Amino acid sequence: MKIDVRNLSKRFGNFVALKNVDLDIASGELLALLGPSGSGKTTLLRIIAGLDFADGGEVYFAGENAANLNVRKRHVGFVFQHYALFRHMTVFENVAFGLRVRPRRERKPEHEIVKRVKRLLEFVHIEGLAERYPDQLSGGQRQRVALARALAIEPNVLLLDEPFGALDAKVRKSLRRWLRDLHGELNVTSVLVTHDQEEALEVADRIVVMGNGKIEQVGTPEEIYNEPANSFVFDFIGESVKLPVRIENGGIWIGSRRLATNDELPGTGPARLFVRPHDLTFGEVSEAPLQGAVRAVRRVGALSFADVRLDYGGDDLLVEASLPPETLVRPGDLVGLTPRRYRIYEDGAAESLTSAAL
Amino acid sequence: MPPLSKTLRFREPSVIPGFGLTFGLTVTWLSVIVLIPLAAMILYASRLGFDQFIAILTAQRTLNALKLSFGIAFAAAIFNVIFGLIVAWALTRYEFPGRRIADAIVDIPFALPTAVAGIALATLYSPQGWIGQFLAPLGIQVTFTPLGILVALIFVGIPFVVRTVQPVLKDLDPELELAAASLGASRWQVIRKVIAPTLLPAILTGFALAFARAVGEYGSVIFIAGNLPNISEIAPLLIVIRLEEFRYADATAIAVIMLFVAFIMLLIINRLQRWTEARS
Ligand SMILES: Nc1ncnc2c1ncn2[C@@H]1O[C@H](COP(=O)(O)OP(=O)(O)OP(=O)(O)O)[C@@H](O)[C@H]1O
Ligand SMILES: [Mg+2]
Repeated sequence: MKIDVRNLSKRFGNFVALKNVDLDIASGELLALLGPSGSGKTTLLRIIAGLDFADGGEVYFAGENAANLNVRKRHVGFVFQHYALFRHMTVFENVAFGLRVRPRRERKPEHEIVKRVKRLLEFVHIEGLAERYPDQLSGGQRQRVALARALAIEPNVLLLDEPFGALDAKVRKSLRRWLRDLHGELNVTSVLVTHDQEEALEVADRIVVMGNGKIEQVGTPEEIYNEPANSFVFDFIGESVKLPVRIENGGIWIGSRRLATNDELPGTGPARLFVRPHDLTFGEVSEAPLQGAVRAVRRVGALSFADVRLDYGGDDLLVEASLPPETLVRPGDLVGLTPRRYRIYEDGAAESLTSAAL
Repeated sequence: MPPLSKTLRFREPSVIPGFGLTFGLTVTWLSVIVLIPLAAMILYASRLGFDQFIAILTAQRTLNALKLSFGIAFAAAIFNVIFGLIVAWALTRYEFPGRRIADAIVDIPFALPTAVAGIALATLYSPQGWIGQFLAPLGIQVTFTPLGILVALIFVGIPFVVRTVQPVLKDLDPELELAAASLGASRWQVIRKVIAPTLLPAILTGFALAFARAVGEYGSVIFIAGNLPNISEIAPLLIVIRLEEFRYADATAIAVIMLFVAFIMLLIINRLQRWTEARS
């Protein structure tokens, strides 16, 4: 089902949790809401589900204003971060709950409920655990129960609030893939809240980056990563190095060296240069706009990083640059660094002045 | 490989020290304070012949007193469960002016000397009293009837239910209710299928405590009950009367049977509680 969010705002006392949020969720897509803690992801999700109420704006379910639909009528499958399983019920009864509470006219006969629950348990691969209680399950198993329970009501939309937040990295990874496959099979419109960008980049069709109650950017994982709309997104997604620079005479100045640019830049003043660590290339000390001493070399899995302390107009700045495989540097070496792909943001402004891919 | 034999051990190895000390103290303490006096009482009663014991228990006055004591204590505990739940609900779920004061008032029956409570209730509910004057025209007589006993026992029992249910209600994850609602449950279904089962062990505990307290209550009841033999005379009072008549054997026999019945009822409630807890 298609869901449209229009101009939604929400405040808690004086605190503005959501500011004029507009969002279109296409039917059948898997959308990730990504943002730092406190950015309003849960709040937005709860308002869509009807578990909370907005102060302004509307939510449309398939074009119909959902204001008059309470939680019961919205048919949303909500998966809570801490599962919220019913502890006094078995796994089976937990999953059957949504089927059993239907009004008598719509309720399926018992044998159909049993059949359906069994199918769901098989679907999420926990058919052997039907008679267990939630306390007797691991975190990953509980998450599967929570998902099966939400799916039991054949929801119009599946809303998942950091479903893998409480699990360890390995389980997260496998559940993530599994969720991706599952979504491919069911094709139910899904919104996944996460503050783990890797999760969002890997799983989602589209990503919504939120910051301070606002939507900062909406786009495919590639767009978000390669073309961050503003400094917030650049900073939040992936690793980034921020360097204070100056715009002067149409060029970018890092200290006393000018960065080679293709076009002339307007204006004069301080700005910030954002660059991904892997877009800093090592070069000749005498030519590169940045120089510094290698402090340490680290190997993380297959990649190596060098901590380079930049001698930067009196200020010391430690950046972490990724080392190309064949480069050999040792702590103490003086090296030059050149930003290959970067963005320049004027101080105080979120919009990018220029970007370069050399 | 040798088979792993699972033997029942009294003491499991534990990293937490102090088992010996605390267990020893528990046994000693319980013995001195509870078990030895009770044993002495049973010993004393056992000196009565069996026939004599039965004769005392089946005397009309004894039977009526026992029936009254247990029956009304049970009714009062039921009342307290219902209203105690409502009070606990209101105190935990809603923010209203005077909530803290209301919360404090709940404990008053714990603290007030029961005789004071009895006199106050008797005055209020007498046909001339503040409340009694409205009941009298309706033909409802509270003082000097079993109804009066009920009022007194409800009064002394209410905090037990409120104080056992309240913390559990407070800890109840609101997300459970939201989850149930999002799955299509009506408010009533949420209460019946999600909240009630979670609260049940605490409700049973509250019931057991309120009931136990009501069975043994003496001070507040005797002022409002009128203590008419066979009508509004409770068993604890009958024991005191027998003692004053120097019929110690009679007093002990009644005490033993009260102990026995109370023990059985508490045991049943305890089982029920275990059962409900085991399911969660
Ligand atoms: N009931 C509430 N009362 C007051 N403030 C609230 C309430 N719920 C949320 N907030 C505030 O609203 C902001 C957004 O909260 P929200 O739970 O939506 O964040 P989030 O993006 O889900 O964060 P997280 O990743 O930590 O879960 C937070 O600053 C939070 O403190
Ligand atoms: Mg959240």
